[in-house]
Amino acid sequence: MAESTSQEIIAQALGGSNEAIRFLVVQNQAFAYSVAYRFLGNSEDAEDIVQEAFIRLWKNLHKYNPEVKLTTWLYRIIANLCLDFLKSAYGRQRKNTVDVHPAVHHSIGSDELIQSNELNRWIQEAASGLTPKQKAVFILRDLEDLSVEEVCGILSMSAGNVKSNLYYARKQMSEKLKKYYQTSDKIRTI
Amino acid sequence: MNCSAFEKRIYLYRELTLAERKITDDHLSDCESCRAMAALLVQQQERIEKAKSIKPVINDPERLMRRIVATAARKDQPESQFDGIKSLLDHLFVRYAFSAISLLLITFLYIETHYEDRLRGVAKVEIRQGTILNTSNFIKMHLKSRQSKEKTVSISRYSYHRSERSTKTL
Repeated sequence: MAESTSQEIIAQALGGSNEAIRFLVVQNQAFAYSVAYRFLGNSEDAEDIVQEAFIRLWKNLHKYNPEVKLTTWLYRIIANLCLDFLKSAYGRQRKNTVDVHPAVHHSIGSDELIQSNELNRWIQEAASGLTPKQKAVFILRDLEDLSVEEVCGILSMSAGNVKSNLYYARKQMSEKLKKYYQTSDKIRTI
Repeated sequence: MNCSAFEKRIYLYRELTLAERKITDDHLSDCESCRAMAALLVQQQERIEKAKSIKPVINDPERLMRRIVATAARKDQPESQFDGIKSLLDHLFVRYAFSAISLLLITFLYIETHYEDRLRGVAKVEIRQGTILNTSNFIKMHLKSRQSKEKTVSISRYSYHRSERSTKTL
C-alpha cells in the first residue's frame, strides 16, 4: 500500500477498499490535526474537526480532481470547517481556551523545547485575537508555509484580499510578540 | 513615498516582487526608523519559524483513527425514510420556506377573522334594521304602491286617448 501513488490509493478507496481509506487517514491525520490545532488551539476541538474533515473527504472522494493535490483539498476542507467553527457561537465562546499541548520535537534540547512550547502557546493566544480570516491567512502562509496562490485557492480569496488580511494579521501579531518579549525580559531580569 | 506607505511593504516583504523589493530596500537604506521596524520584524519572524517547527501531535492517533472509521461506517449505512426527511428539513432553504409559509398563514388567518367580524357586524345591522322595518310589511307596501302606479298610468293613457279622439271629431 505504501508503494502505491496517492491516485491509486484514491482509486482503491473509491472502489470501497477499507484498507485504502485507512491508509489515507493514517497518512494524513497528523498533518490534518496540526492544521486544525493551530486554528483552534484546543486538542478536543481539533480532533472533532479532523474527524469531520475525513468524513467529508470520504463522502466527496468521487468529486476529487486529480489535478489538485490531496493535501490541498484536505487543507481546504479543514480551513472551511475551522472558519465555520470559529464563526459559530460555540467557537467564539471557546476562543480563549488554549490548552498546553504536549509537542514532540527531537532535534532540540529540553530547555529549548520548553521555550519553544511556551512561545508556541503564546502565538496561539495572540492569534486568538485575530479575525477568523486573518487567522486563516496567517496560519496557512506563515505557519504552514504555503504560497500566496495556494492560500488563495484554499480560502477562495483574491491575492489582494489575502495580502491585506496578512498585513493586518502580521501587524497585530508583531505588536503582541513585542509585548510578550518585553514582559518575559522583565521576568528574567527579576 | 513616505514611511507610512512603506509600512505595509515591510510587513509584506516576502510577498513583494523583485522590483518592489528593490524600491523598499532603497527606502530602508535611507530611513532609520523603517530599518529598525524591519529588523524587529525579521527577529520576530525567526521566532515564529522556531515555534512553528514544533508540530502539535495527536494524543492518541489510534483512538482518533478508530473514531473516524466508526463514524464513517455509521454514515455509510443506508438512511431510513425518517432520516431522509430529517436531513431535508435541516436545509436552510427549507427552513426559510416553512417560516415564510407559516407567516403567510398567520397573516391570512388574521385578515380572515377580521373580515368575518366586519361581515358579522353588517349582518347584525341588517338583522336589526330588518326587525325594525318588518320586511314583509315593506314588501306589501311596495307592491301596493306599484299597483296603484300602474292604475294611474292606465287611467292617464285612457284619458289621453279620449281627449285625442274628441279633438279629431271636432
